[in-house]
Amino acid sequence: MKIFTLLLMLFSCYFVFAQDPSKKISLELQDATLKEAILKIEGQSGFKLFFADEWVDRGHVTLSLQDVTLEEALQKVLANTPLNFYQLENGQVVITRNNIIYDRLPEGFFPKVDSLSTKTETTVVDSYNPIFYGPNKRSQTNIETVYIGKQDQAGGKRIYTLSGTVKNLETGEPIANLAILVRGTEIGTVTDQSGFYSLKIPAGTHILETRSFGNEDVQKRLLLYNNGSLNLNLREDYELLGEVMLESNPDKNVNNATAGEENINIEEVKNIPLILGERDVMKVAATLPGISTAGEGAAGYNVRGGKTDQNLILLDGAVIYNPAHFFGIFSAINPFTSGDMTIYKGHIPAQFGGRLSSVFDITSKDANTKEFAGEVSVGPVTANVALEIPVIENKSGIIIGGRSTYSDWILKSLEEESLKNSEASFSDVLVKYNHKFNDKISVKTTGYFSNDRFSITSDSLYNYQNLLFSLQADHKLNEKNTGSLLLSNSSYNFDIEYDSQFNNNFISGYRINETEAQLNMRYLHSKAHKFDYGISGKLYNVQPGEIDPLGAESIIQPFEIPQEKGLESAVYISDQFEVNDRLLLNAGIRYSLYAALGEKAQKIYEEGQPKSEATLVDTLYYGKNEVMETYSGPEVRFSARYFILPDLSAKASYNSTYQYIHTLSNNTTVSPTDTYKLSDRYIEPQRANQYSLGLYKNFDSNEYELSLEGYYKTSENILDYKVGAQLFLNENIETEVLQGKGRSYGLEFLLKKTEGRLNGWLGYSYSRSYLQLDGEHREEIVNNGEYFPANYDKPHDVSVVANYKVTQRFSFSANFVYQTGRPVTYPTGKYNQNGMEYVLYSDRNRFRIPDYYRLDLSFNVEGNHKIKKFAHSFWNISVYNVLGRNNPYSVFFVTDQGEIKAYKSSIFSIPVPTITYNFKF
Amino acid sequence: MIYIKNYKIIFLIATFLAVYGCVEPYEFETETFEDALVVEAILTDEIKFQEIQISRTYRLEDDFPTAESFADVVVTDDQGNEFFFYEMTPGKYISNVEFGIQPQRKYQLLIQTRDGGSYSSDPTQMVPGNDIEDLYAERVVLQGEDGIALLVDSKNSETASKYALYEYEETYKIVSPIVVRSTIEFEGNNWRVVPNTKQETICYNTVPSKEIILSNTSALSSNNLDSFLVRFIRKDDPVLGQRYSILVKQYSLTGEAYSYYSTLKKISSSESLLSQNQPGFVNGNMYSINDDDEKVIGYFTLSEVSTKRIYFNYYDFFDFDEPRPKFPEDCIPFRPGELIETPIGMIQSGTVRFMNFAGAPVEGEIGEGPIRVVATECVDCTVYGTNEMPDFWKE
Repeated sequence: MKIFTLLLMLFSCYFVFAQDPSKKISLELQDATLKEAILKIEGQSGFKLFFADEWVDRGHVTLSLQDVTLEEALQKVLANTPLNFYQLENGQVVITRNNIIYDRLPEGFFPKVDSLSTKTETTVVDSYNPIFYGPNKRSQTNIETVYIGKQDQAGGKRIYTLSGTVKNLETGEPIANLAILVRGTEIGTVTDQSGFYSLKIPAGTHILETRSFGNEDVQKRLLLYNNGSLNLNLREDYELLGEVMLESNPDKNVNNATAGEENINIEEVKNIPLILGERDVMKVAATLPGISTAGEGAAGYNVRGGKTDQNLILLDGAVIYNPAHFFGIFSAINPFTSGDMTIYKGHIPAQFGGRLSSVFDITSKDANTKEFAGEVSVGPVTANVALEIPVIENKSGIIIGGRSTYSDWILKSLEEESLKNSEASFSDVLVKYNHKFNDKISVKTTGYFSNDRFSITSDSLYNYQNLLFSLQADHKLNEKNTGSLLLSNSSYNFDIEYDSQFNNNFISGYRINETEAQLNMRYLHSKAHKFDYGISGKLYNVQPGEIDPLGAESIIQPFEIPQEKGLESAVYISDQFEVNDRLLLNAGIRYSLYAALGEKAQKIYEEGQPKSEATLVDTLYYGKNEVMETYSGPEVRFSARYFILPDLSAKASYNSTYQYIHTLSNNTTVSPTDTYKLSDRYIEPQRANQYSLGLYKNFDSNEYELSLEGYYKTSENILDYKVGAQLFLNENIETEVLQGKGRSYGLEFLLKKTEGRLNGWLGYSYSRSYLQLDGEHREEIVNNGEYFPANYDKPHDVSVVANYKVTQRFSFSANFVYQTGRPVTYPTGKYNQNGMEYVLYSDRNRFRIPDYYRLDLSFNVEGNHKIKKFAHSFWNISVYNVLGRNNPYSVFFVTDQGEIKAYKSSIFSIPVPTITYNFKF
Repeated sequence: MIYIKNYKIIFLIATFLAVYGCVEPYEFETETFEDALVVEAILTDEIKFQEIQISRTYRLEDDFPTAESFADVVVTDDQGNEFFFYEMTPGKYISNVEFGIQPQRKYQLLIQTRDGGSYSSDPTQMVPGNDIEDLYAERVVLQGEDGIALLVDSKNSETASKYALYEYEETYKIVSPIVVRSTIEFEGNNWRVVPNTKQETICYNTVPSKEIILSNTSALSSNNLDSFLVRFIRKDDPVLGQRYSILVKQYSLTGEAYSYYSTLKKISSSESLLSQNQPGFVNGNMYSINDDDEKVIGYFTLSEVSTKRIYFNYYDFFDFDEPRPKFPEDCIPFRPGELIETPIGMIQSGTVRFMNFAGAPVEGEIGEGPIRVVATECVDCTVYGTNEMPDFWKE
């Protein structure tokens, strides 16, 4: 049998059908075995037929054929058997089992693929019905044959596991999100971050092919006898640089069970017009429906009507508290070291918890383990360098990325006195080391630091830092079980230095630190059930504020609010349950438990009275690590996908979430001096429930993706504050805090074109978000206790991101945004107090600032595509706010010299051109 | 707003925009007007006729509030005393008798408006403060500006209030740069030159403070206030030009009153471009008895008051080579028109003053008219203040 297969392999690449029509065959068979029949055909036709005896020593063939061709004769004889045949050019015919050797391409490329059977790894071999998959347009060079495993004589098992790692041939970096398919079947998978893949394939001969737009496509002929591994090294496909790169999971949009999930490949971000030359993945995220910012240049993201503190932003598994530079004009995520980002805005997998609205899961690139590589970018505000350094070839590498502003000298060199003394600079650096011990064990560790300094008045200097560290160890225990241990620590702190003429100089600061250990396990129980389960514990340490005198003369009294501590732990389990071809469920439950820990002197207020010094009745003292208050609850994470048509699916989800940490801010937008407060006796955890329903459809072989999603969300214990509340350096925050309800709903529409010269997306969302603050006392009631629009309630939001490729090297990109103006509180009159005028404000957020719109354009030039050159360069010329629209950021009122004055502020009211230069080596 | 002419530096400018953005005045009119009662009442421990002002909110484009007239106003204490107030001028209510607020007692303000509204304050107490120990002036550079800082030291006992509100009243002397011996007197259309008898060379002006000034010693090492800045005057401000006096009043506040005034101050002061305070209604301690949802503005404040006054002259702090700032910066005589009717008309309208009759044109002088005149404010300091010396004034 071996010889047949070998022959088959040698010749099957020539897909030419060479039938000899002249030979006619006549047969008369009565209850003959297949072998007899085949031998007769062989005799009459003069063709040599190859076959294995054990396949044909059976059967009862009764046939009568007159003057038929060889092909017809064989078809009749082999009908109702698992056997196929293939006619070779040189007059030989091979009888094969299971596989039909297709010798011509099907009509057209990308045939209608029946996605319903995507997951049916065919176990009933006899009913095997292969379909051509994917374009075979690229030249069919010789296909290398690979033997996997030894033939198992027992032959009981028909499905084997093939696994391996895919790497870049030149750099040795793992290639993630690469599609690996078994040709002619619906079996396929996608490599993970470390380039690893695993496939279950029926025994026999297959053609394994890789498909991506960033790397060459490779075909391997597999002879699969047993479980085994196959590592692949792929060349980068230079011709296609600058396109939307990968077609990973082309139908993921329709196929997976997660409602409200967005994926951003950071390479895609490259062509999108930039503000001041900074590539920014978070800004791109904000162009997707359901994700918005409070205003241009505002830090913080509002996801589906949630507050800005309700997003869990993870960088390689560690929380990043303030992912913003320059207030929020730039994001602190280094674009050159980031791999990709997944945003969960609807269904949040049970693995994640601790925030109500969303998870931004950002993973950094794995370093190149073969060759030194780097990327440099020079823009008007920052310079950016990323280096990939192999440490042990093919095993470990380190990636270092850093950027820094050089805008400081610009401010310094100015004539204007008030600007001369000001300062604004930022920098960030990321280091990641990845080490692969073997196919089963790999370790990754990441460190990240960001720093911002700015001063607006000459006597105060602000300073804030993020510092985080994570260590992840992945272990494949066996075929069915994998485990991942994640340790992380992150901290955020800010300092304010006040240095004036007088003796009240001080330095003041805030710091939060969290340490987390997480164990995530995956158990592939069967085709129908895949379990994820795990446990996590997180310890918070907060220094809620301190102030110290600056200089010997200062009369400021050192003051420190005692440290806050909290322990948040959780267990979860979820099952991806494939009920049938159409219905896929992802049902999970997470149980989280929070404990506020001492030591602390907890003030107790009279019940039913407004909390203030006047209603203080007692103070309870708790010792170190003593549990002061606990909160816990189950969080349901349920999502389902149902295929209505092969390329049309509906998804529904219900999610409930808990959040034990809250931002304290009485600003309408996020400020770097906002602090985080842990839940305690008086500040209860925030809770939310979200229901969502969506329809997903892909057109033209996944070239177009269309989705329509609706959601309804309710939340409780959302923090708000009394007007003018003093939140920093306040020991009794509970006296300033209000907790209320939130309600939001919306409809999101997204049309994406993923391929072609023109690609990009169009997003529209209609969404509303309301809050209700209806306390028991006068100062705890806002707008008479009725629901009012939240600061970030922007009903209409349209974004268009388009990229048009003129040639391989030149492309244009455009970005258009339209949003309803955000709600503001306007004066409804004025009044006098102590001889001065003051503004009487309307009910909260009763009015809106004018609508926001902006168009950005950019032109991109790729360097030439010679393979053997030192560096690959890329120019981006962009103009931000081409229309010069003076979009108001806010309107505010000031009492100056006893009189009211109104001002309007805007951030970028004129077109801002920028040129950036990047090169890769 | 920053406008850009030079494209070479555009990215520099863009960086500023990033930090400073663009703030411009904005024309704003009240879209929906809300009418509410406004109470201004700071009652002190001084035994005097106490004063309470009651008005209504008014539209942004209007200049003055409407007074709330014909209201019944009474202050009660927890010992059953009632102090009635009468309306002296529209909206201004004065107590019938002299009285001072006493510590340890709780007071309540009750207002009955003419339209039937009934308002009350929460019961309120006074927390004693301490005296202003020292008030002094010092020449400093504050945020790059050279000028005079007026500072307060106050030694407070631990039991005294840690919070205080300050008001000041500044009085400064104005000296006209030009003195004229003669002036023109009009009788219908006739005019004649007469000796100038009006005292218009030395004047005084008194201006109250126009900001909320608050001190808080709760974050300080002791309940002492050292070098607390009450007022800063830039070096080129003409109020410093001659002799200057300031009267500072320190009102002790309760914690709640302090939080009311500081909130008021916070939501009405300028702010960072990128993070705006959430504005809203500032709750005081006044409320409507009939309607829970009705907004009532104001804080019935009870304080112990301490006052102090100081005087200083320009050259107490500045060297003789530093030219003193003057009220009218430029006082250049000129000769308008050709016929005598032109300067006479200008003099009659009050914009200029007669200096003398002019002869042949003089090189370097403006105009060739028959009369030499100068702007009124160069001669008459009553444009800026009063020519009557205040009672308290000391030279």
